[in-house]
Amino acid sequence: MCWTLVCATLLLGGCGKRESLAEIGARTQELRLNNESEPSSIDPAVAIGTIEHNVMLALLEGLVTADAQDLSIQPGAAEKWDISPDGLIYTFHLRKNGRWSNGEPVTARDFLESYRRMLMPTMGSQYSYMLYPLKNAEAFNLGKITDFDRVGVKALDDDTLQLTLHDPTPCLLAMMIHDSWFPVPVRVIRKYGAIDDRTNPWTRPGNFVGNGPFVLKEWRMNSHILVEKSPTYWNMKQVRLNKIYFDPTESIDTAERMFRSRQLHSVPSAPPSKVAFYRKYKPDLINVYPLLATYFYKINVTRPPMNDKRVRQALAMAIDRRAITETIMRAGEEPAFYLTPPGTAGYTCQTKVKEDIAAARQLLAEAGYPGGKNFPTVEVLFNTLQYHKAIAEALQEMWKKNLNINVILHNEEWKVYLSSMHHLDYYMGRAGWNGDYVDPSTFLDMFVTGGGNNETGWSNAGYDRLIKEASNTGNRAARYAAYQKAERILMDEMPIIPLYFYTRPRLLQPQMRGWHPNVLDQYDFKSIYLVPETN
Amino acid sequence: MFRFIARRFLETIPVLFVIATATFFMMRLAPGGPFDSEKQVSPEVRARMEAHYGLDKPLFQQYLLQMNHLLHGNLGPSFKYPGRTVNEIIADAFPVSLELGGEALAVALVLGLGAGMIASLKQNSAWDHGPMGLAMMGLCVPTFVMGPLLISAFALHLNWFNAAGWFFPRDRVLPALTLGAFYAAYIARLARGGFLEVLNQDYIRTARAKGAGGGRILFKHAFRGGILPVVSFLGPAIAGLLTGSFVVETIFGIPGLGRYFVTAAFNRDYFMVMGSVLFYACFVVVLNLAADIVLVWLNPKLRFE
Repeated sequence: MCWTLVCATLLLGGCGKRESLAEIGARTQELRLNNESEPSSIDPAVAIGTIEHNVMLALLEGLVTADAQDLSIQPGAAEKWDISPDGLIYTFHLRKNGRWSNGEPVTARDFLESYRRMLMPTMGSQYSYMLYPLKNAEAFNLGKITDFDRVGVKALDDDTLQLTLHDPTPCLLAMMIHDSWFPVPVRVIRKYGAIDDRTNPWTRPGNFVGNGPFVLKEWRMNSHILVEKSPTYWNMKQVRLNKIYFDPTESIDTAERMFRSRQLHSVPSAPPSKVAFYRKYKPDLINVYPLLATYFYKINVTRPPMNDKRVRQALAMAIDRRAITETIMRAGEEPAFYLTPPGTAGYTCQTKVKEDIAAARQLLAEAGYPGGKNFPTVEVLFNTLQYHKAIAEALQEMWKKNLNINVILHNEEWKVYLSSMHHLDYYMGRAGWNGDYVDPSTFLDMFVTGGGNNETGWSNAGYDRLIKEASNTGNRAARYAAYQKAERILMDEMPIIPLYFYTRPRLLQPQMRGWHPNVLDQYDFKSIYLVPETN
Repeated sequence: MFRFIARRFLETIPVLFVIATATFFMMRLAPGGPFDSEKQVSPEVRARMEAHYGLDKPLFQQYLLQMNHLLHGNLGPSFKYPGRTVNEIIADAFPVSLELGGEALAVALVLGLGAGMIASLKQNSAWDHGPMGLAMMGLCVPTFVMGPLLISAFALHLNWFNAAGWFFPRDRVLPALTLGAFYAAYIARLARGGFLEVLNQDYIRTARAKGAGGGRILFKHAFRGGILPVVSFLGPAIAGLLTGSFVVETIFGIPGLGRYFVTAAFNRDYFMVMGSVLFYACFVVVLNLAADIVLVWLNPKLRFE
């Protein structure tokens, strides 16, 4: 049978040029998008990660949305909002024509119920902390109070939602574009089981109800998710796409081949080995842009000799970062001399790590290791991946050449590596961080004493105080001044070694229009459309 | 024969029990857990999630619970994909692997037996060296090279097929060829050996002396004996083919079972690991049994003992 199939297809295949899926899609406004992996869930209280976020962005809409060009905050399910002069009370006015895909109106009560569900301790939501700026939200989430009326969320009437914060949080609106702030149809969820059940099947096609520009039609695991334009979306006139196929192909090589055979309109990441080729020979098919993400090494400051600040500084100073970005990464990455990506909501750290080999040698000598003498062999830990290995090898070589110290490399499988990092069972370990929202706090909050993602054993009372001070002030200049001081401490103490800021080498067919690059790599599916190619 | 089959099935029970037990404890001994992620979750949230899936109970109690569930055919929930059960995921993905494996098997048998039989009939001629050389190449070229090569030629240059995906009938061709080629090569070499041995037997010479033609000798007299080595190989090979190939599924973006087998372990998706291991084990056991039955049927010298 297979042989017949082969022969038949070979014969058929020979007849004329086939119209590719990308070309068909351009005629019918059906976008085919590689989404890098199979989403684990599309329930905002369960999902984590950008893969899930991309699908939810098509299906649900929060109070505010982000403009895809500059990530400025735009009205979403809320038409407008007022902020009290002390910055503690946000009053959102919902649109009168907001509808769920089952035709019911979207009300302030829906948002309240969604936030309550997100914060229910029994829900075990990993992103519940995104709602912590709300008064008493943390206490409710940790089960210290059980009365949700005490949490700063009130539905004043069907169309008015009032949020009360415990501190003025200037980045609140920026945080609200995250899916943890999306509404969910709690009444519908209840129909399929307990609302705090992680495994509730309300997210299945046929069950799913959303308020976004698209509705869920099909979800075949590891094959595709299909969403179609929603007839009940308040702004449906602006939506030009009829369908979006989210393709879960995980292998970047396979995805790139699918792009080349014109099965996909866009692939978020070209294989690193092909970025240079595309940039040189097919520049119209690739767009390389910075992301809000940093690649760095964490240092376990509890282990000698890494407990000596001078050793950490010496290691950070004896690296040629540009050599790493230009000879290993080669996708336009910028070397990082501090943690927070430059220009994050107008904030750029003023303290830079110096690359100075003589000074590094001097520091190492002061720490008791002149010329690298007697320096114990330390280990670099990374999760098994080719480019992590290449970077670690480069660093190993630089440290040997510049400081005459020996570093050995140790790779571990992903979950083992996570466990080692978490239990401080390492000397130096590779790390990466993607900002959840555009604000320096999403990077700098990480290194407060005892922070879940600190994982360096580093603790500094001055740093903690500055981070607290920044989050308590509504004045942007004062906040950023506090962050500058905090990051200066971080770059002096060096519990981390920043290496580079990530970029996105995205492949795009020329038919794709209305898409804009941004640091969160956030899609605006309302604006994207396709045009058939003329030639 | 019935007693033979019944006995073999009974022998399977302790085998599966040992596999399930070993899988359970090996998985739990591995460092890292299903809820570890790059962004750490708070201890409270982690405790809630572990409680939800019963991972907060003592290990031995968890073991007994899972064994009880397995006895009732319940493979449990997937951690990685909340809201989906392992039974459901396997039921979804297995038909895809089965189809791909079936097509690859057809490719392997047609090409492999064909080449092997011709080579044995025309020993030491171009008809022998040509196909056997190709078979050697087929064995040496791994699927992760063969797949991209076929895609490069037939999908990207000639544009006859899609580069990956599993939507249209034509999407089956390249993965089936990629997966089938290795097995075809193996079968070709086994078949050549098997047929050569049989064709040198006295009874074949007698048949020739009686004037039987080449085709008649091959299919009527030599076939049953000649394919014996192939049949022994096919038992475990078919199990491997039909339960999916991680490499081929990854290269061609096929929503089959093979990739769960690997990714479940990386994700520490405990129930998914157990489910896929047991599913594969059952398959291997059943197909080995089937191969044994066919062998006895083909070779009267063997008995159901």
